Amino acid sequence: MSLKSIVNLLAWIKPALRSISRSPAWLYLKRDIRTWVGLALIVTIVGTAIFADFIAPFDIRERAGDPHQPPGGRYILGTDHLGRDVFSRLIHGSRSALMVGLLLVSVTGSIGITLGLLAGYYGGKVDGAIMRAVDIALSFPGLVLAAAFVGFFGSGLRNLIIALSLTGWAGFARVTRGQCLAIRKEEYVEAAHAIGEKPRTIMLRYIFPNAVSPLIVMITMTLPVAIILASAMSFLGLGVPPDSADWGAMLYQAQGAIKDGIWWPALFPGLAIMITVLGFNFFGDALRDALDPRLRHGRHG
Amino acid sequence: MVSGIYRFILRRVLLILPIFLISSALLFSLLYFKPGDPASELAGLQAGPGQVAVIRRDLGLDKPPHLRYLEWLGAVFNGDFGTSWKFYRPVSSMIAERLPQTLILSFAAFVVSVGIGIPLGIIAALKRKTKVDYICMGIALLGASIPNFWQALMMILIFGVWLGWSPGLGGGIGLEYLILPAITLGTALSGSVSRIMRSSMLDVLNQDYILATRAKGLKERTVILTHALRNAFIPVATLLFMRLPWLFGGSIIIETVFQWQGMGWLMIEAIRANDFLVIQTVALMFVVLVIVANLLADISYAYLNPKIRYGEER
Repeated sequence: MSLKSIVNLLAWIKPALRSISRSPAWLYLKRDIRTWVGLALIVTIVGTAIFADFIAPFDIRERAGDPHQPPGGRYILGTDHLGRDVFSRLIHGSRSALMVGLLLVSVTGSIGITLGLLAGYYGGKVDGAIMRAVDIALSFPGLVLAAAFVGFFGSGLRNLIIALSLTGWAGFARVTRGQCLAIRKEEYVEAAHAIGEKPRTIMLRYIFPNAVSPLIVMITMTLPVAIILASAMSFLGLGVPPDSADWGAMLYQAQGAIKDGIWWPALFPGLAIMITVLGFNFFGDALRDALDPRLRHGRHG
Repeated sequence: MVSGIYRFILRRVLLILPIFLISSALLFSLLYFKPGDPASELAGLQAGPGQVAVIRRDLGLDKPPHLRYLEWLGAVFNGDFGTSWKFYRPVSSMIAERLPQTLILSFAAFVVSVGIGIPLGIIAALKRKTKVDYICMGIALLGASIPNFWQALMMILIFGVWLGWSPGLGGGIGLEYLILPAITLGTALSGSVSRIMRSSMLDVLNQDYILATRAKGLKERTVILTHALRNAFIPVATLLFMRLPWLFGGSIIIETVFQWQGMGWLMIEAIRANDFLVIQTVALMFVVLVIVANLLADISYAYLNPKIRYGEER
């Protein structure tokens, strides 16, 4: 990125913030306690991920002490079956969770949004074909297909993302198509047609920017689902390598010792997943209500 | 003339066929997209070329894919899924053994989610905007946010290890072994059931006919339980059927953690053993289950929705 484009970007931030702070959605959002609880949790997790190297007291790959040391003393949350510090691995696990979650949402989001735009814009046979594919993808049990895919092609980060994307794109496609159908009939889109804009330009510069707000809600709501699904796959040994500092993988390795009463390697990664998911769910719920004018007056409380 | 609802059902049934064909073709083609030679991978390092050739013929890899697919499809319709190379058994008998267990677990989880979710949603709706409402919805959000694989581990820890209840450790067949997996699998669903129940109950309570029943002087209990509940239940029923695929996905995790002898665990065992045939077949069975569930959802929705029942909506 060149210096000029960074300066350009910065010049955008102030007016953007001003228009956000004056929008009715924000006025609603800032009165909602879920916004602040959610944001606090999200900021904590993201901060942990950024500063993981400074927070974690031990190396996450090397043994820090004897195996299965209980929490307390030198090891705040104890050590695992290889004597690695659970707290340090937990801290670094936030990176894995956010990275896998964001990666998955960007892959499923870009595929789904593109197909949704095409279906909504062109209609007819294109729409029919894409929507049949959406129906099939939505009627598949996603985790079953993902597990089958990994069973055939092997585990690892890349295959995990592909496996969960096989069905994950469909929700985005459906929402985008619905938006696109409504926006396509607007006057400014007809005007764009009239001045001879290309379909590609109309879709990307006229329709997409006006379909953004439900998509933002969808992304916020999909991210926690993506994190849970990816952790579930890693927990089954079908995701990231089992030795990674990943919450799902940590739980996978903690299973063996739990019957001997070694609870600490199994308790904390799950709590971390739950806190992350709760953060995004709180914020996503508040955001959905704020962006949906029908709900803004709180008929349902 | 065929009435609206039968035409609707007929159309849905006809739609099943392409969905089944496409999904089965996709699952079937996984073997052909696989890099390397599945036959020699299955045979292992010590196998001679003769053994590899036998496996290749057994997998049908010596024939062109489309012919093999049609042959396989024909065999599947006759209930012949082939023989597992790792478990040395016909796959059909393994499915026959495991399928009922998965259905039992799913049904039990279903019961748990309805048993917890509906009362919670009703109470929250009746005590709207009070502390009771917030507590109920807090519980619902918590239930929907707990990762079920972790909940399963915690259940084993609390009931099996700390309280010393031996079925709590899992690994058995029988009613007492069903309790913890069913609760775990049902928890997340009960969270969403109660949220839908609450908002649909609030919708119904705002309707005029509820006002009318109250004006007639019926007891509040009668108003809620007989007049409001029946209509408020419609969206919940749709949600329950729509969530069935999700329930089957969850059964992979829950069955594996509790070592419940269902298809989900069979899938994981097959993946760990590299038994492609079993992976493929179990995945196909799950797809069939989901297709049936979706059909049931559509039919129940059609019965509940007068617009479709009287053929106004195509």
